Parts: sequence; C-alpha cells; structure tokens
Amino acid sequence: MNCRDFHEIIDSYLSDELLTETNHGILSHLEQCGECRNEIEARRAIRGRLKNAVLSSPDYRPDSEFLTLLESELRRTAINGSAGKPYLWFFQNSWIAAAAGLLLVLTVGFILFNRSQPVNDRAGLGETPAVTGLRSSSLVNVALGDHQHCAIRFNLDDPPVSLVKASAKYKDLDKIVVPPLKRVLSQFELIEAHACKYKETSFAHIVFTDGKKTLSVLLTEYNGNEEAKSGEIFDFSSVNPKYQIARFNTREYAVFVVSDLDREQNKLASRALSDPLKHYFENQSQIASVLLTII
Amino acid sequence: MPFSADLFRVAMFLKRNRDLAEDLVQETMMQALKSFHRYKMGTNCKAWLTTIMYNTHYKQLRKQTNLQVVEDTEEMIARTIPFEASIPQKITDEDVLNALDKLSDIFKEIVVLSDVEGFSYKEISSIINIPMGTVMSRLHRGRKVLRSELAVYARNLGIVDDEEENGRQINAKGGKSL
Repeated sequence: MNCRDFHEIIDSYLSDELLTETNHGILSHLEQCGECRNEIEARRAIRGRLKNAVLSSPDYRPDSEFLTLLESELRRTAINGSAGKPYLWFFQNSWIAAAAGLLLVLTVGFILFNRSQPVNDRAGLGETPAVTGLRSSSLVNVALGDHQHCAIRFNLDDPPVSLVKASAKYKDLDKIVVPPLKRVLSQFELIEAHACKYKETSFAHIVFTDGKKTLSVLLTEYNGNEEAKSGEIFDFSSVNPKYQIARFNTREYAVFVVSDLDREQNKLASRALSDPLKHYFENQSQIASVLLTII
Repeated sequence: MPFSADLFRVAMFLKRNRDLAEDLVQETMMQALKSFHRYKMGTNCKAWLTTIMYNTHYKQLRKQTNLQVVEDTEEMIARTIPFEASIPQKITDEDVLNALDKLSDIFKEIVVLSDVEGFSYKEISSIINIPMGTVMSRLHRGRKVLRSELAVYARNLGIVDDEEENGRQINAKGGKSL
C-alpha cells in the first residue's frame, strides 16, 4: 500500500468499515510511513474535536423540561393508546372525516337498499331501544345506541374516523376480528371499520353484514367498574328481543357484539372473537412496555 | 430516555430551530410507539429511531413545499474544494461548529451521522435512503470540506500561514493528494 492508497481509505479505516485484510495493509503501511501516522492521528483528532464540540454545545442539548414532558406524553400514549385527544383529529382533518362519513353512508346505504328483507322491525328505528333494567347511560345501552345510530341509521353527531387515526392500538384491529368471525359466520362480509362516538363514548366499530342482517363489534375503553368481569361473556339478549347483545372484556376494553342475528349465532360470534381480541391487546401492552424500557 | 438527546441533536441539524426540533423528536417518538411492532429486536434501536425521524422530517418537508430533488450536488460542491487542507490543532469548539455549519446540508448531515452519532455506512444508507456508495462519497467530500473550512479558521487565526497553504495547493494540483 502506498500513501495515495492510504489516503483513499484512511477515513473508512477510522470508521471501522474495512475488511480485516485491508486493516492489516493499513497497519503495515503505518509502521513504515511517519507522514501517514501523523495524518491518521490528525484525522482521528479532528473527529474527536467535532464530536466533543457538538456534544458539549448547549445548542444541541434538549431542555430537561422538554424531556420530562416528552416522557410523560409517551407514557400516557402507551397507556391510553393515543396522543392527545383522539377526536381532535375531527377538527384538524374535517374534509377527510367528512369523506369517511360519506363513504360510510354510501356503502351501508347501498347494502340496505339492496336488501331483499327489511331489517328487523324497521318501524322501530325511530327510537333507540334500551336494555330494560339498566340505565340508559349504561355502557351496554350506549353500545346498542351506537349500533343503532351508526351501523343502521347512519346518524351520528360526529362523522367517523379511521381506526388508526383514533388510536394506534386499533391498528390491524379489523384484521384480527375478520378471520375468527368469518369462521363462524361465513356469509358475513366486513363493510366498515372505523372509530365513532355516541353519547360521549368513543368506540372502535367494525360492521359486518350478510346483506340481510347486520352485526357490530364495538370496543370502548373499559374503566373496570362496569358489568362484566374479564374472561366472561355476558348475554343481554333476553331483555331486548330486537337485538342480541353480548359483552366481554379484554384487559383495557369492553367489547360488545350487537346484531339482529338469533341468540345462539350472536353468542357464537362473541366466543369466536373473545380470545383473539384479548391476545391482540395483551400483545399491544407488552410492545408499549418494551418500548418504554428502551427509550 | 437516553436516545432522546441523540435524536434531538440530529433534529437540530435538520431543523435549525429548537421548537421545530422538539416537535420532530416528539413526533418521532410517537411514531416509534405506533410502529414498534416493526422494530427488529437486537438491531440498532438508535438507527431505527433516526430512520423514523428522517422519514417524518421528509414528510414534513413534502407538506411544506414541493421538494426539489437536486441531482449530484456533490459534483458542484466538490469543485469548490481547492486543496487538501491541513488539520489545525489550536482551534476552539466554536470554530469547529462554525466550520461544520459552513458545510452544505447534504454533507453536514452525513458527517454528523457518521462522526458524531457513530452510525455505520450501512446504517446511514438506510436512514437517509441513499446507496452506500453515495454515503461514502458524500462522507469523503464532506470531511474534506470540513477540513478546508477549519484551515480557513486556522489561517485567520494565524495558525496556518498562506505559504504552507499554497504549498499544499500546488501538491493537490499535481494530483498527489485527495
């Protein structure tokens, strides 16, 4: 190796990017050439000076206040699934929200228009039937209302938004829900997967239909004080003949399966969804924990 | 949060503004939280986060302007390098930062990613999304320009005299040195 070759690769040598054989060539040359020894030391020194200058400059150091805020925001997001208020997105991207709402209306409207049979008791759609014996503010009744107003009547105060915009934890939720549901209700197709809000309660809402009947899977954050315990599937069907309602809980969410199917089919769908959803959200929590440990 | 300080440094080079850099770091971290399922355990987490930061930065730029891709800027810059500069010893950290600031952005970012942040050529290629050969040529030229800028500071301080500089320029023209 001569001095010119050495100069060509000297920086790659300092960056430890060369093959072992080339490194040996460099070392052999350095043993013989004092000028190149000076050169490599000078270049090493200038790298050190550059690194120290940047690292010690206050201009390139983050404020401790910012780091504290960032950490708390990350923890909050990891726990709650979304930075800030998820529905702020409505106002920031109103045209997209409007487009999503329109798409929902057109899609579901088309399917209903082509139904050969009317939806169960269409005449009753003007009212929101409640599960008797429970307050209208009960989560079960709110979920039932969302199914009625969003999946059937398309009448919400706020237009729906995409799942991923509402919460990072809803990413791939539709992919988790569709296969197990199709296994037990093979004629049903996914027609909507979005986030919507009814009576101040936010839901991830996945809608299926076979062209005649409609099934909603509704997920909402669970505060731990509601009716169902984790692992159990509660059936509210007997108290409202128009709709079949089942509920189960995952770690952080209450999940409702609401439909105009018969009772056994609705329960079958709930059982099929229970384990996949639980595993999905448990994995999400683990991922968030791992990220928080490494950052 | 050890990586947040590293990310902030890179963000400062990208944004040149503390508020914008903080926003970029926060958006990067949030994006990382959302995309964590894509992170391969055992790989360089800092490189992964920096890649997300660059993607976020590029996305912001695209939103702000119609980003013009300039081909082969290196060639233009390379013509501005007059000689193989000497390496002055007595310059201050401020001189070093000022010299770094004189580099064009495409050279500065790559020199910072390599020589300050310690990423490998392969990692830089992935972060900036350019071929490894381009990483190497930009690094080579970026370091060369930095050395030239430092030589200017040294000359102004009287550390390197014009005679020495002229001698080096003659050598460079003779094709001896890079």
